[in-house]
Amino acid sequence: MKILQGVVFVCVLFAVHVQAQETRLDEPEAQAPVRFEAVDVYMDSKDEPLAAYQFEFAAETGEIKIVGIEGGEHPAFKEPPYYDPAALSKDRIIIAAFNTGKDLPAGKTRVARFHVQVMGEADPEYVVKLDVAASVEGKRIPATMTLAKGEPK
Amino acid sequence: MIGENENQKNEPELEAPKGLVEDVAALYGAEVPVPAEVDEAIVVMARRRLTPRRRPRLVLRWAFAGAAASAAALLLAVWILGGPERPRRASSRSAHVSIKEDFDGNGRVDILDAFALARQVESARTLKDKWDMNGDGIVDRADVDRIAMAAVSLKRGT
Repeated sequence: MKILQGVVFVCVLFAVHVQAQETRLDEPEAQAPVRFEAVDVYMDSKDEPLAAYQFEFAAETGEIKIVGIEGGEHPAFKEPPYYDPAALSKDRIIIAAFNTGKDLPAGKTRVARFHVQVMGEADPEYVVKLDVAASVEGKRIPATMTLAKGEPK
Repeated sequence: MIGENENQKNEPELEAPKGLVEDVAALYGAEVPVPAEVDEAIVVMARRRLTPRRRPRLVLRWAFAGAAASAAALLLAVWILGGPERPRRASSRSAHVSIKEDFDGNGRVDILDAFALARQVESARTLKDKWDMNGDGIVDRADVDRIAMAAVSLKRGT
């Protein structure tokens, strides 16, 4: 009986201790400075017209939340791309878009703009990984991607 | 105090008469036989009176232990199930897909599957029933969107 009471008591103490730790961990985050910034994603398909793309965007360092997504600068990709709504408020997202029309961008073009909320002083380090870029026939084409910080609206 | 003690020492010791001592000894020293039934009855009555006092304490003790155990279990369950979400880092996408969204059949679902179906839909070629991704009986842009959403799903990408 006393052993059971002891075990229960230890369990309660452990739970309270863990909860207290998590509360302490949350405190700095709640007090940390918050700012917003925009990140532009460019894709360069060289001479090949770009008809479809898919890539993954994430923050490798720093603490961010993705709060908004815009389409690209070319009319073919002006509409917001496909993304998982669950990715909003997280630090990682997969983006994709395509256009079956004839008027397609070639060379370097901005394909998306992310609006992110940055928590804390540290500057986040963003990474982008190209999954696929395709021509109008749906064939994979080589492309490069770059990031640039823009001004938030 | 000292004077009182000295007075007590000086007093002669009182002794009862020998006959009185013998009579009192005969009166109270004699053994009175107690029947076994009386003994048993006394024991039963004693048990009846004493047992109810112990039982509530026992019940209370178990009730306290049960409540404490329940509280501990509840706290642990809340902590384990409802704890704050841990940050997750990007990981490589799984190429394991079995599903009909893999339109081009290359083993993974990406935007090229949606793009290929979109081209089929827009070119008005023969559309196969198996391309009806959402099961509404027609193959159209909604099926293309379904493939595209599957391609960008974080669940599949983790």
